Amino acid sequence: MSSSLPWPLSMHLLMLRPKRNGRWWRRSLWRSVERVMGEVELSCLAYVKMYLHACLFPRCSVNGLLLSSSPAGGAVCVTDCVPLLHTHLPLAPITQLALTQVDVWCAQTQQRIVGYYQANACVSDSSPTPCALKIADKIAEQCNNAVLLMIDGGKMSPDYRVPPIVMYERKDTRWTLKDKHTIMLRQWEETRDIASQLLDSGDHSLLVDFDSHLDDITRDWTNQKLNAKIAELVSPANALPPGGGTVSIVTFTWSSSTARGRQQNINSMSINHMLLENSQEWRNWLRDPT
Amino acid sequence: MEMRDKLRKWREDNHRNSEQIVDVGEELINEHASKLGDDIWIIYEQVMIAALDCSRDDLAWTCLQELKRQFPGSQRVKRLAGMRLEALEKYEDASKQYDSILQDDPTNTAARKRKISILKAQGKSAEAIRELNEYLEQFVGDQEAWHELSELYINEHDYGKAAFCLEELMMTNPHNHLYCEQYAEVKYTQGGLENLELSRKYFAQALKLNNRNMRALFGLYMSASHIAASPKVNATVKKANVKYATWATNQINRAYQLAGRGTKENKCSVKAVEEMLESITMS
Repeated sequence: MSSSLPWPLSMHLLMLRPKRNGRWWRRSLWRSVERVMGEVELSCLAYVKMYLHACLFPRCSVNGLLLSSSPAGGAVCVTDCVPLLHTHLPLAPITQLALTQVDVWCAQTQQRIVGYYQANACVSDSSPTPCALKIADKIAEQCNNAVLLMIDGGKMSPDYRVPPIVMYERKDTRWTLKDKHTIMLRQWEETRDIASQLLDSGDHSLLVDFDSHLDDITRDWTNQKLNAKIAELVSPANALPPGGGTVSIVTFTWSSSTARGRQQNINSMSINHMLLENSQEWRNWLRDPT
Repeated sequence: MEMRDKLRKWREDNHRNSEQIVDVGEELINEHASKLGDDIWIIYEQVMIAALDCSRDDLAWTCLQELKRQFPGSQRVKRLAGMRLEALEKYEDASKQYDSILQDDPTNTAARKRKISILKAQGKSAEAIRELNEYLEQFVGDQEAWHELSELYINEHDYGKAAFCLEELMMTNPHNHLYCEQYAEVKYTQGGLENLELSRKYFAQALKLNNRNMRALFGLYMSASHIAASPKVNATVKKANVKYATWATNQINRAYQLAGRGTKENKCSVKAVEEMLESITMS
């Protein structure tokens, strides 16, 4: 696999990919970047549900788990999330219960827990709390590339054009900020619009977190109904390729509306035919430096 | 008029459904103000607080002006003005407003509590805790304050002190299953055999007070399982706890089966619980 070659060497080679859909794909490496270990991709579904969870309980700290349906190894694709609590996050019993139940459900549905998200009640402080670090540590025991995601409440208004999230990864037993170049959101604008649309229409009240489930166990914390609603709104380009995909992705930084950061346009060639469009752009975002 | 009754119910139950209050209240004020009589003032207050909660500064300002006009120099209206400043994050000005209320009336609990809320909003939890403790020394019976203090302690991971606050609440509200259950959760989180046993007892107590409290049921199951699995307990204790855990398992299964009969969407949850209960083995 070309990903095992060191970068400078691979720059000088034209690699041939194996037969796919009856065609040989030639990938010119000077135009594409290999999938690097440590990359994290956040799906529309996961982002929208996290966002709606934070909006549903604006006065509380909320948390939840990030799931992936793609196999382990390589980049992390967060394909779904399960909202957990909006009360008493630091208390153990319900958290343990929720982790166990989600674990079981993941085993039934071929998913894995790959991360944890939290939004603090205090809008001015988006740093991980001790309980966030503890739960994230627990997840990291089972999953090497686990991520810790904090939602920045201060940046959730529609004026902000960048995703209001801050991501951490585990390096030598400590959680450190992730390099923004390794975080990806497909079709960010569409994702953002879907989230706003569901919020405006009041559909965010369809979201059930584990706490709400315990208040009324007829409510479904796997959120099948809401998932279906989101799936209806998502265009094919925004959906994940089958099996997670070994997609060759080029990331480029995107300047915010206040013109912070550089902007580079690089066209990428995607192997996956579902996403193959000439104007396909992959984006990541700038973590707000302030 | 049913809108008026709705607002009264929400007011009495202390619901924080601010978006709904704003919707109903705004319509009531704009369309039917003349028919409300003296009720209108308390409705103005309720709607104003809800409007602040929803960032409806315009509506909050209107309500405040009406109240100021009707009750000039009132401490209660001054407090509302302070809350508006808080909502605009003008914490210094809000604090000064409350200080002036306290100068005129040092026993004004509302102003003191607002000052503590400002500390909480600014993230100064240690100071908020200190101030709240001082407040409670004077006003020992303030349930709301005890609960707020327990929440602050839980967020600071100071479980011992949180437990103390909840004990106070349980003493004065022995029939409230939520306090029992929260106390049990705190004890469980503290860990250690003694605390687990206490937590099991209080989960059981909460269930006695309300047999549909799912958190208490799960809590009972988990604490009993942990005690039974602990190497430090003797055979009789182990046996007893296995019995409690089994009982809890059956209750949980029954509750989920009753729930699962309705829709197929929560079949996922039901199945997950079944598997979880099977997989957690007890030694």
